[in-house]
Amino acid sequence: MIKYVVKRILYSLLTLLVLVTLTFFMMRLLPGDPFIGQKAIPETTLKSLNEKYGLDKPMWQQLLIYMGNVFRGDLGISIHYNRPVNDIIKQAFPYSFDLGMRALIFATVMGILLGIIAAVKRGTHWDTISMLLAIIGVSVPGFIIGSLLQYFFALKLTQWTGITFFPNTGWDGFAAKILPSFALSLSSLATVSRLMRTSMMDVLSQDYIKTAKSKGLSQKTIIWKHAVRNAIMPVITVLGPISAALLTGAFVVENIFAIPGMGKFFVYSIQTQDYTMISGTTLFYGAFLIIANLLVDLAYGFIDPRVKLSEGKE
Amino acid sequence: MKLRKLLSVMLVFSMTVTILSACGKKNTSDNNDNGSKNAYPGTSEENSITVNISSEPPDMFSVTMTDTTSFTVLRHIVENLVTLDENDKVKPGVAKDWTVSEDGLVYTFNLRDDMKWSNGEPVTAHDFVFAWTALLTPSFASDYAYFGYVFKNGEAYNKGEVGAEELGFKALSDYQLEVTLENPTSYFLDTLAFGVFAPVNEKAYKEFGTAYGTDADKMVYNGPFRMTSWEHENRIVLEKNPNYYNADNIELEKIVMVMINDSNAALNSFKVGEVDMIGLNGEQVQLMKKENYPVYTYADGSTFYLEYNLKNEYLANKNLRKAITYAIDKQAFIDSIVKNDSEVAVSFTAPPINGLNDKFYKEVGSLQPAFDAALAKEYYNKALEELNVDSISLSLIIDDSDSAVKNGAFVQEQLKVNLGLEIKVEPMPFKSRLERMSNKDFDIVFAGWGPDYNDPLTYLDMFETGNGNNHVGFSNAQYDELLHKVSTETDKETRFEYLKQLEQIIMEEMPVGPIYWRSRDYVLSGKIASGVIRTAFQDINLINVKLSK
Repeated sequence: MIKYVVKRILYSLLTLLVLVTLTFFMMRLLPGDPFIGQKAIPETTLKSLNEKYGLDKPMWQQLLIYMGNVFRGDLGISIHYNRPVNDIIKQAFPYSFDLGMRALIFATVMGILLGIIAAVKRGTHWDTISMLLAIIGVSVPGFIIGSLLQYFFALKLTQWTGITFFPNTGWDGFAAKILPSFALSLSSLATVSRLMRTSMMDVLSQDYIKTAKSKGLSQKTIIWKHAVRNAIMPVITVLGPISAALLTGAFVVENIFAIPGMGKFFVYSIQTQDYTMISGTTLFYGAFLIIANLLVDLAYGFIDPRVKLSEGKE
Repeated sequence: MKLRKLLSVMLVFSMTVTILSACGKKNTSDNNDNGSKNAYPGTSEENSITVNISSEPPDMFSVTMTDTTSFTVLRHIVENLVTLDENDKVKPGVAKDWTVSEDGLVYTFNLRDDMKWSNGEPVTAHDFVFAWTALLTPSFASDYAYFGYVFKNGEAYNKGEVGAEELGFKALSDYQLEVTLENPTSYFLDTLAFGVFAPVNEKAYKEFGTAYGTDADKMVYNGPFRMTSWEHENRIVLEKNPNYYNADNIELEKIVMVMINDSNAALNSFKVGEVDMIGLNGEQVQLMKKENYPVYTYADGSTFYLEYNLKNEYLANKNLRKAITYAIDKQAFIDSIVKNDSEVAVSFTAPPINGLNDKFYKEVGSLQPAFDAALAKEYYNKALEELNVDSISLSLIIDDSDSAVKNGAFVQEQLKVNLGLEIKVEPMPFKSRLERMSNKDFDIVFAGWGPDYNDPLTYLDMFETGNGNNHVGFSNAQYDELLHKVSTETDKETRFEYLKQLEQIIMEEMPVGPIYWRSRDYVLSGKIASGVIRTAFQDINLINVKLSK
């Protein structure tokens, strides 16, 4: 087990190394540069800007310097904001994590429940409703969901009743967190519930479920003790990437609800060609994804003891 | 299980209601308000207003500042030698008065001796010398370093040809500053109100170093307000500076600046009373007008136009450039895309710029038809004849934003209908467009330009041969000579005569085809009675806001 974890961590580091290198070269291929603007800037200024951010050195040297800094935990100074990338991430990430965690928990719990209900009550209106919800969640983009929630629950509801149930924007207080978390959770909720339904139906048709039924076990026991535990595996698998996506910053939802999270940095850093910020956010996202996936793999072992983590050796 | 059932039913129900009601409601809602400003009373905290500045100011160090939002914040917390009134006219700031030498080259400023920085240091002439030297020092890497070229030896120092002691400004005493200019510059005082000329306290700068201006507690203030909190990407809180000399006349105790980027979200926030001022896009202007809610408009000084690459084999032909410019129905463009009170550009320099006695654009008059399909066709046929071709192939570069794509489609359609000219539209990211422009790798590009200072030169000097912003490759000996004359002429009347001639040359040679002069719009909650200043040179100034009683 420990050996497996160590091996995985080493692989992860290698992956990150490749990620940083690829990002480094790819962002340099973008047309334009961080300093080009609407108006021409004096040459002396351009020269010292390039010096300041080390962009006057040969590419390979820049990459080595960057790698060195990254190993020391320093992601550099953002070209656009003139603040350390570490500080920016430290400041923004807690918002995204908080929002993402709420969305993740809601999506997972509700998604699994809906999936189970849909599978157990297959063909009934329960099934139809949960799958309708799933389709909406997958196909309606976040900015529409977010804007609609905002329009009806923050604006119209307040105008009709004269009471503010949900603030329109911001992240202060519990009430402000409900709409954005719900908006963010919807597409993941849909993914989880669809997966859960399929997997649950698969499990429910297995022989051992029939055996359990014929043994006279109650439906409750069958579902919760025998079926769910097996059906949940595919859901656990997708939880890795889903958590990485939800927790590291959701651009659209954060933008609509004006939450100062990480999301915008992924988008704006590329638009402004803020090299240090692009590398920093990519690395951060990559590391997060790798860790989430590692945790998921470890979770397999706990949920299904048949999965042996060190099986590569056998 | 029952609870879960209930929960899921509720969830599904609320979702369905949300989606369905969205379909039916949109067109009928928002029609029934009473039209007074009381419809949206705004925030509830006393003596405080909340305004939306949409985005984070990237940097608050005035020397390297380039972003409009940063300048907006700076205006409230750091005061320059001079400031601008509601009509953009110069008024005293840190300088209580000044004298100008007869040749217009030497300015002597007498500074107030009762101003203090928030670190307790007095505000002195040395703070200006420090800031302006930094502006011109290459290691500070200021984009706006060229602003300092107005000072004697400014450019030479920036290029490393002379030492700092040769620069045309010096502190005669703590409260007296002498400034020598390179050329007599009639708009010099106007430019001094611009943020890059703000004073910087050297002691404070040395304390924070390159982190100066990155957080509320990493800079110092001498203006009517102080920044007391800066939650990045979220909000900035400014509080009244009790030590400011004019503090008694400032009514606001607090200004909260929030950063809501999404325009629909901002409008909702305004309507529910979270924000007292927001900017509106064209659609929202129509929406608010339908509610009879007062919408405020100001010309922001931007001109939008087509740049024609004069190196292009076809566009080298003047008649073709005129044909394309005249063939676009500019009022229709504004009505269908911009959707506000923006004006058709009938010359290049935008309306807010001062002329000799009136606004410059009025003194210049209309130099092109707003739209004349017949004339355009005439020019087009002439061009085809001169070029000796049957058809012409050109491409138009635009940004990839939604609005830019609409701009491109409109121009494409107009040229097709009115000239029979088919052009290709190439949308691309902003930075790519800029790079293509600076490499002169384009046929036509949809571009915009905003003023740096209140003089026609801020538009017209870009067509100087070899100017870094002269993407079109315009080169005209007469034009260059006039530009030179403008920069040395001391007689105002003659100078503006030259400027007029410059404008006429541009509109005759047409290296660019002006489309529209942009207006912008905003709404105020019932809480704000007066005092909001939004102009091309002060967007936004809330220092003298008065609240409704």
